[in-house]
Amino acid sequence: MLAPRGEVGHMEKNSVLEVENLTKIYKTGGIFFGKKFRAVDNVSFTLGGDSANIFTIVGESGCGKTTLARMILSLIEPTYGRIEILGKDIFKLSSKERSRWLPRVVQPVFQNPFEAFNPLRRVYPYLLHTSSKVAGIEDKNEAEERVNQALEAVRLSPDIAARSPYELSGGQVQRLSIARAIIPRPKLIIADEPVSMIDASLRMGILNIFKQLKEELDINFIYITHDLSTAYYISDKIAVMYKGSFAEVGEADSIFKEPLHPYTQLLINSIPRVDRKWVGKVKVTVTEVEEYLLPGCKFADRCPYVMDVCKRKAPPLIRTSSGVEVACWLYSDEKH
Amino acid sequence: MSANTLVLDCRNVAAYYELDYGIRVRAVDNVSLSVRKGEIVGLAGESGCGKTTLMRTIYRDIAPPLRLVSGVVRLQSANGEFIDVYGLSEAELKKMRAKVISYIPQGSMSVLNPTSRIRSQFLEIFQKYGRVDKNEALRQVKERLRELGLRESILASYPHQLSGGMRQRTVIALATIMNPSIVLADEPTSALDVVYQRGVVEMIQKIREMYGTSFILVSHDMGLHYQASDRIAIMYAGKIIEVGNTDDVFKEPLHPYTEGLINSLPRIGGSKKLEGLSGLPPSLANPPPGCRFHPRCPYRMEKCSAEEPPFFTVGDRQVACWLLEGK
Repeated sequence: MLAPRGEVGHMEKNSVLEVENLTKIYKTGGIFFGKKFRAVDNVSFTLGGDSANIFTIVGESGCGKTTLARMILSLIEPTYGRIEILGKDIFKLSSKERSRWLPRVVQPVFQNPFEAFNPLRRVYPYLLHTSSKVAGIEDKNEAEERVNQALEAVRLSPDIAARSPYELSGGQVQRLSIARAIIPRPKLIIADEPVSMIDASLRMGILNIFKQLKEELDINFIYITHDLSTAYYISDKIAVMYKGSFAEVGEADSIFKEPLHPYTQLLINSIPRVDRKWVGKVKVTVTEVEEYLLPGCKFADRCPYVMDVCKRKAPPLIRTSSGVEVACWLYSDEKH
Repeated sequence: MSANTLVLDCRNVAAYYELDYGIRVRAVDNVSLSVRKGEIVGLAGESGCGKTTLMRTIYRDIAPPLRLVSGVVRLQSANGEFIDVYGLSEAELKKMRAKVISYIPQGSMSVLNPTSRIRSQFLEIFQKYGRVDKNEALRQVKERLRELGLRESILASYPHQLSGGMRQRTVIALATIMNPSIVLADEPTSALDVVYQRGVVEMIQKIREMYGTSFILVSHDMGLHYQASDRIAIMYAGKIIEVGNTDDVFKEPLHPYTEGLINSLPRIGGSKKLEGLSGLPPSLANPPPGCRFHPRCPYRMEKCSAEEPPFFTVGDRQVACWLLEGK
């Protein structure tokens, strides 16, 4: 059964990204006794509007956040569901649109910046190639100009781009991969754990670049992370993902100040904060693949407020008066 | 503080990687660190600052090109004597391990044998170090698991069948089964989600309370140190630059690097724009003269590039920074 589609904000006409009922099913085990494993389960949201946004997807490892990101980048195909970027269904593009148009509107930034560049080549020719081939700037001077603008936007001097990746620090290479991503002037950047390999003292510098690119170049970001503190720092909206589905979606402030879903509450109370010590003890259970196969709410086994209905029926995303959407029967008026 | 409450005492330890062409990477340079009984000491710093090299030096798990250049590492043995770790024979060293000092390297999957069940990995330790038969060993393992709140069913599992958080807690149970007086835990929570991180920290605290075990907790995550450690040592470019009680250090960091590190942490509920530290950590093969932090330091003085600051003691805090001279 499909849960009713949830919306982030209203259906804006000028949305950059629309994701509807997106589902990815993997099969595990043998051919005959295999189980179906919903890595991403019925996820819907909309991104974009009058001004650019940073939309963060937080969740533990294995919750499906990277699978979701890879589908939006059209690196893997969903089992079902629809992804529209600027009104175009990205899985119904012609091959020319796929190779020309798509990389100009969506760009990735990955976790390990050293894997993004060829270690044997200097960085600058690579950036220039992106500028002339991906962004399609034929004039050489203009293409160079675009590269230099991108380097300036990430606050790197052109002589850094003239070096090879191994001569640079992780923070510098990640800035270069952000520079590469903005050369085609995309509408959307998918950043999958972009700072988790970067040293703490340099992390904020990179996140500040995201904020600045959002404001100055009107680029939307999907920031994928397991780190709630940085999520709070840069996000406009946050989706908390648990076992393939969104547990809670809303403005960053309201999610952190007043988490509604019991899983979000557990998560936020477990952040190793530097201004407040943990209170009480945490209940840690063994997570197994089996949890994905539960018919009802996937958090039911760990939930302190579990009810009968939770184990039978997956909760829909329910919009509360504060505008936050939460997938939890505690907030439902429905008789069950 | 009387000396006999110490379980580990490192004095002026220097360990260099001696490479070809006379290159010496001074990964640990003149480091002194002591750990008291039942204390959790956090070791913080960025990647490449020498945290892991320091742990390996303490455990005497070093092989060329890494070499102990100077300094003494002493451990308190079961009968209260202080033993120079580098004065032991290989056989004596082997006896000390697991029973006096235990080391948990980074990455739980690489610690466990992927092809054998957890049960046999526990029994293997008893075979090596314990003098009990198999049934007694198994009884002790089960009792320990119960005390630590782990399921007995993990004994029948292979490592890959456990979740990351469970695996890490199993590794800690393995490392502490012989009741060592000190455990060196290298990034025990990295790659875990916050809920499991908290589970691991709570388990470490429980082991400390139940058995009086001391820990050195290596992590780059300052939040984790604030939650878990009693004292914290901040390392920068191969040197410890500040040591003090965790709460005091977070309340009022005295070294400019500590200050920068703590102020660059995002706070939930805060809305101030955060700036990372400018510049990069130096190369340890060719560190800057004087204070190694001076090229990035916002308060640098002339003296900083000329002369290396010694430790200045402020209350029970030690800070290697010229700003504190004469205070």
